[in-house]
Amino acid sequence: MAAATSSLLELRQVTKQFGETTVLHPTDLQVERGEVVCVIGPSGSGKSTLLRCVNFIAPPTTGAIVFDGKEYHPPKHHRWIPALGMSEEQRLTRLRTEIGMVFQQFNVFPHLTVRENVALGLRKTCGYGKKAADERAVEELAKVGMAEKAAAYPEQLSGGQKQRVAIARALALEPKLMLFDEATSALDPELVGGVLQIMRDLADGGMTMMVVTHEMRFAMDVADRVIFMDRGGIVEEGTPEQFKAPQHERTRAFLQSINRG
Amino acid sequence: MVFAFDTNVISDNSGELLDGLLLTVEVAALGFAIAALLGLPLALAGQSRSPLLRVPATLWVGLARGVPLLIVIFWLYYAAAQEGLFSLTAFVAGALSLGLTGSGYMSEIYRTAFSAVPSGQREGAAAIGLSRFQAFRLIVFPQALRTAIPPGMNVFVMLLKGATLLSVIGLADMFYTAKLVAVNEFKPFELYTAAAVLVIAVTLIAALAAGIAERRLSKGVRR
Repeated sequence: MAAATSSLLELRQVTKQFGETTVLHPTDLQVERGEVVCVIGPSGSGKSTLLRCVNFIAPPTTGAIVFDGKEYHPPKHHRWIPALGMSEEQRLTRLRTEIGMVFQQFNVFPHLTVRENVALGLRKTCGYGKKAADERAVEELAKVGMAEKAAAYPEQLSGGQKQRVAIARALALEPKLMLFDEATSALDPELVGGVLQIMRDLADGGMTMMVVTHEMRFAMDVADRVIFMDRGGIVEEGTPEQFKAPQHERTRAFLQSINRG
Repeated sequence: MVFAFDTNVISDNSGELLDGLLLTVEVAALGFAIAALLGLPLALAGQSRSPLLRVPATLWVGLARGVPLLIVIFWLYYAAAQEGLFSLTAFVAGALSLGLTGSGYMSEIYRTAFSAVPSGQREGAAAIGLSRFQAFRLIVFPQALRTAIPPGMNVFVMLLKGATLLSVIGLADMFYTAKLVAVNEFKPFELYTAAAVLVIAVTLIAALAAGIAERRLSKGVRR
């Protein structure tokens, strides 16, 4: 199927259901190359689900995703022989090497050193040899100020340091799009700034980003576009400037409630 | 008659007892190896989306855990041979019985160990483009293995103790030797005590080894 779009990413009528519960109503969205989109909204509004649908970590129930000109559909699993869905599964695995993701809980690998965490993807999905991957990993770690911790295990790191490693791990694969799923929500307050700064620098460097966040200052400063989600759908979207005078009552109520906090 | 614990009868027969012990440990170790190897695909099949894999695996685990070891031993050694299905030596039949019984337990141990790995680990692995198989092999399995070691150790101890049952099919293991000497020398108390002590000694050594293995695998992980 031809994907008639120049956007880097397009979501077409993407929905997500868990059993009977709909957590994402049919959603359309386009993200342009170099654009930074911040997704805000109350918890349970479907923002993380939206992000997880993009790289099929949580495959959408229906709909399609167009990324870099290629169209992807939720894999259908044969009831008796799941292996029949393998070819689509393999396409999705390749897609994920082009999309980096950073999680709230870091999800660094505790049994591997910091260097191995970053080198693993390079070796297994980019065809690097061990030595080249290790060298490259240290370079990536240096960019987030973690080079001297290369030989440490994640348990020896603070939350902020773990998240830096997770960012280096994602960036090492030279993704075309970065997804940040509440990347600073699990951090101690004094560690938030450092991670946000890395994200800022990344945005300034032209990276295309989708950022689910509760950090309104960050969203207002860095985003090209802000999306407000509630109850499994996009309620309102616009520039940060437009969000200073939101159109919808629910957006107003949400922004008021977090400004009070 | 005054009861006295006769240590001489044990030291006089220690060579035979230790030979028997070696055989007991061998058959238990082989049985455990079979159980550990069979348990892995069983655990994976049990979690499969396809009922074609899930149903047989669940049945197998239920049978392996449900049928008493002694019945499995008799079935493999006597019944199968009688019906002309196959005929096995006592050692092979013993190791297989232990392995089949243990596989059900090992499968359950793997299953819980896999589910103890946080789902975020699979997501992290998927996010860097690892396939489901790579994520399992490189991320989930190594982390699950160390959770599986202490309960796996219990299965080994269970099989080691179960191995004493193999004396009923004439395997000249440690317990068989102890029984023989006990009957010949009229010293059952001494010999069965010695047998118990030997099994406990092996159990302790195995626990020690498991502890070392667990520590080595826990590199970088807080307990």
